[in-house]
Amino acid sequence: MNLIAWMKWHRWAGLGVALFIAMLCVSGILLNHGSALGLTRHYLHSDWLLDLYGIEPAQAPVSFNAGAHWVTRIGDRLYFNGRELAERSDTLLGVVPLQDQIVAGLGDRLLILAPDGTIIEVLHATEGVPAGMSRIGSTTDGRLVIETDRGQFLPDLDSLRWTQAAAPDAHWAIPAAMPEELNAELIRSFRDRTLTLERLLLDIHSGRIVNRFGVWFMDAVAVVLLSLVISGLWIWWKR
Amino acid sequence: MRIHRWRAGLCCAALLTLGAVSLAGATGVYQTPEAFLAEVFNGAAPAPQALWLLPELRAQAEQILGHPLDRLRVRYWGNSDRNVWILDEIGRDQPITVGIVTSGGRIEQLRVLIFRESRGWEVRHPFFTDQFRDLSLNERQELEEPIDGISGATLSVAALTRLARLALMLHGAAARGQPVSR
Repeated sequence: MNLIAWMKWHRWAGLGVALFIAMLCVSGILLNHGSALGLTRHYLHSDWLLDLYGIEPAQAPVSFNAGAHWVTRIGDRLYFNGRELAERSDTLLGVVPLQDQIVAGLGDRLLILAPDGTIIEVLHATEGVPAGMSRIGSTTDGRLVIETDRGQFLPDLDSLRWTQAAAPDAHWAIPAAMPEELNAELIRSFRDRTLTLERLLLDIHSGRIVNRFGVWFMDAVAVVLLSLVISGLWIWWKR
Repeated sequence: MRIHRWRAGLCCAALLTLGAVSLAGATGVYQTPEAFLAEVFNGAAPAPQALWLLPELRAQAEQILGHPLDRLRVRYWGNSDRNVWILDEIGRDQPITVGIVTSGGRIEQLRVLIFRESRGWEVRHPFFTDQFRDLSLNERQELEEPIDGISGATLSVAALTRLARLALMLHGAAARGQPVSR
């Protein structure tokens, strides 16, 4: 190609991809400052966007009744009634209401809640929680009982004494169907706290917002941009 | 003139190459909290103590963290004058688990135990964590010496600094004999 042809290519190819390059630049600048702008903390609630992403819980919620309250796991999120808890876990073995607290078994740790759902503490192996927890329950006299690979334990959660003893009268926590209104509220809450502005910008930046064809399209834009670099350098060199 | 063009071309190529360079991260469990406790107490970790976060302590913790501490009770290991705190704080998206030994109102040791973020893992290295050694809080509840940051790990650095301040504040409460029940 002669210089005139290179200049024509540079001009028209540049015009053709200008909008997409501007989009790449703007989304890139925003992503570079994502933390300062709070992009990961800003959730999108638009139903059509959430539907476009197909955001739904991968599995049905697992819910346990604790007196007048419900403790539920959706994915790795935990809810006390309709409120999301700060602790996350992909396991919820059971929930047991005790006299002045509610205990949730999270596989390798115990979540201790106040009756109003405030987290009192989370107990781990460092506090003596036995490994291999499989279910939790309560005895007829209201004591917490934990079943593990090594047998059953009757813990004192204040002094953290983990007494190994059989509890033949244990009443084990089993999942229950929560009220329909609460289920709908939790699904809504799950959807509303899933898609962040950062994820949307990342997908716009990469083209994934319109599935794999979008990625290929943005690849093509990148190739044209690269050719513009080459043609620009070539024109500069020749002039 | 042709030499200058070649130089300019080489500069462009160098800049493009630099732009393509990236470093792989390193996330994971560096040391379990149990192993950290065993190391600090020479294999004989004492039974954990409980510190209830009464309203005044909760307010101080919130001031240090910039957000409410999401629990009412914190466990620690020690005798009130030399204590170990296992604390979590979110850097960017995920909690960083840190073990902090406090002694006589100063930090004896700070170690990153579990790092779950995709960036900022450089804070695990002793060249960074050693900066906290022997630091205490001033009257404004801030560390008495500034902590040098790490480029690209700003949020992790800030999270560890907040945890260091929190551990020292909690150490003070434990040393004063803060009530252990509500």
